[in-house]
Amino acid sequence: MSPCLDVLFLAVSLAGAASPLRVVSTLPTPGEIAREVGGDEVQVEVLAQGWSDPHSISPTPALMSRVREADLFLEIGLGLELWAERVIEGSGNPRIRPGQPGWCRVTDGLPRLEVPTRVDRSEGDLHPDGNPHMWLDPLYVRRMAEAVEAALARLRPEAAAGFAERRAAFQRRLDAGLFGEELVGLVGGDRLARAAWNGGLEGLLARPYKGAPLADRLGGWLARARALAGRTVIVYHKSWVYFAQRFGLEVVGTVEEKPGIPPSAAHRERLWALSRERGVRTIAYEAWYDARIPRLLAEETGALAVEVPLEIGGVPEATDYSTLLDTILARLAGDGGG
Amino acid sequence: MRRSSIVVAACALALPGPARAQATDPELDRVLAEQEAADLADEVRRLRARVEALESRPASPTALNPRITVFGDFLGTHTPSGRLGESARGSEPGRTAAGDPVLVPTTSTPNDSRFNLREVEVDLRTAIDPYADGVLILTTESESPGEFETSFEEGYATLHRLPAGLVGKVGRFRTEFGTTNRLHTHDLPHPTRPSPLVDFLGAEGDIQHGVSAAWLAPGTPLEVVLQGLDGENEAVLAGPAARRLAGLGRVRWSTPVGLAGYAALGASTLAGSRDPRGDETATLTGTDLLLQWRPSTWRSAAALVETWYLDSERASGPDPHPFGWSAWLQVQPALRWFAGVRYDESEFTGGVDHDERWTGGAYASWYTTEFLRVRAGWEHTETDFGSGAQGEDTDALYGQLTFVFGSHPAEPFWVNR
Repeated sequence: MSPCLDVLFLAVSLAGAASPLRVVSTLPTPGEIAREVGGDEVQVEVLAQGWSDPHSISPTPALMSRVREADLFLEIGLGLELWAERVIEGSGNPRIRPGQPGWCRVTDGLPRLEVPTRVDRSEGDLHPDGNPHMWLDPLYVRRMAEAVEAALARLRPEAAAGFAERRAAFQRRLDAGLFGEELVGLVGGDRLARAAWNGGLEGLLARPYKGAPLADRLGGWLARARALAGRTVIVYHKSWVYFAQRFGLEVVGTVEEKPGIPPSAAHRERLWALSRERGVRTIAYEAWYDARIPRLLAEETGALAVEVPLEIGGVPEATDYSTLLDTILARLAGDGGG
Repeated sequence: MRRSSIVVAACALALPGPARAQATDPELDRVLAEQEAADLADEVRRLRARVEALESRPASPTALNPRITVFGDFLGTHTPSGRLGESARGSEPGRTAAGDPVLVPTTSTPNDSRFNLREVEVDLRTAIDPYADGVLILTTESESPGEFETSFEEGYATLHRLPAGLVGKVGRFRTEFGTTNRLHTHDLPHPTRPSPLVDFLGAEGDIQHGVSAAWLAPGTPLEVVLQGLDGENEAVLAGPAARRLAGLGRVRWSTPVGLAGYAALGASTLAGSRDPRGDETATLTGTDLLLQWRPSTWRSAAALVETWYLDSERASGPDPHPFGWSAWLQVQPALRWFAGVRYDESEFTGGVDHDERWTGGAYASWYTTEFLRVRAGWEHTETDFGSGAQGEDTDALYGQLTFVFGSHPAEPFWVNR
């Protein structure tokens, strides 16, 4: 082949190769989902660090600049990232405005917990559409992956089959992480996920198979969480409702008097009494909250105050979604992080 | 019919997919089938209940209405000398009868120590159509207790489907001169506006009618804003009588500093005519540097330095070139507490004297939540001019309560919380 033809061939190849879709996510978990589902077809940026309070990121021009050329913007929504609106607005990028194909709220269509029946500020800094901290339940992340897949396929239909394949692989890894390899191999991840989603997992696990209940074959995060079953916990903010629902944690109170409202002296007294009465063993707080109050309460009641990451990158060992869940469970069980 | 269709469809979706390789053991198949039958019956029951709830839900009565937020700002002032700080610090706009100075500092206005509902602001915003958003900010202000004046502080449409990533704005708005100028009174991190801002741009800052185009450079946080304005600013331009347009340009570059820091450096210029005929010109140039450090929601620090320099050419007499600057430092030692200091300096280079004013102050803010703030402040002002003896000093103590209720709009990025 002559050099001219070589150059021509290279040019044609380059022209035919689509550049990666630029995906920007407000938080690390939707960003990881996009990486998992998008593979080489995407280039992902995450705006908020895992150790920062997702409610109160400053919508700086630096963030706007990172969104300027984005093809897809991923957010949790439900009033969590109020700052995202200003970031999109300031970026001058019309492709990612709400309602456009380049905008995706990954929680759309997912069942919400703690939707308030009374919406006014006397109830604190509440989320009128429900608690947004859904990513702490792997089954919600499983569903978010479907939303991300749909958004990517909308923008790049020719790669839809690849997105679907990677989404399924990601879900299989989540299933293995949640239920353990053995049970997934025996029953199937989809079936287990469906049973867990619909509240039928305990019934399924109670069924005998080869002389023993299927529960004996449960592994993964759910098996580890069994050690936490019934453990009473006080958390700083109402971030853990989805996690608690999935893993059987009993959250008996919050350090905040109401969402966003720091504790008064009277509330601290109530927490102290509650801790004694309910035998609270763990007081969990996120990195951005003042640790002094949980630590003081822990000292007074004999409980363990632990810093628990809410997101990937929240602590150094939470490097991806799987290690995030590992870390949360380990810390709640009292293995470091206090 | 509709309900049963949905239930049937839901059941179909809930059925297992193609048999998986794992489920070939007859005992396991039976176990799983029994469980799934039980689960499906349960799911159908739940879906029926959900469909009924959805079908009976009324449409939201607030659909299509704008988001409404109300801000209130209550200020108590005590001036031991019997002279008020805030209104005293305003410059007399326009020119003197002799046509001399560009900026003419007023002498202190006698006033009692009073409480005052200084401002109530109603902020309405919504999408107009797929191409534009609308913002309307109605403000009722009071300079003297019990006397209120209502106006549209801002009212504009934002155009977000312009080419090249431009964001357009048309209407009446706070211009993009500097950092503090763009803040509404209730958003100020201190009880009063910095003196040079008042001296150079007017008591409320620079609010004009016009058009604006903002552009964010791809790949780097460099913002460029160009604005065509009607020149109605009374402090440096011709005021309401202006017949010539004014122009404003601003660039700002910003960068993260470390994991929790942020820095932004900006420069602005506002150019226009000093008189309705356009015989005299004025060019106001400003710079601003903002530094922020915010490792958590309960600990932060911020500093801002702004400068103003006016280059004015007059038809007759010396051309004045006044300069002013303001520096502000704030720390957040705990979740609810913010405290800061501010220093301002303005010079008034008129036709005859070189007059100056210095203001130093400190304040502390306490938030019950982000929706209610209590603040106490103190300011000391010295001037080398005044009615009577030169070098008139003023002290003012402030007590402030600011509240917000409504739809909780996203906050601008640099505000103290």
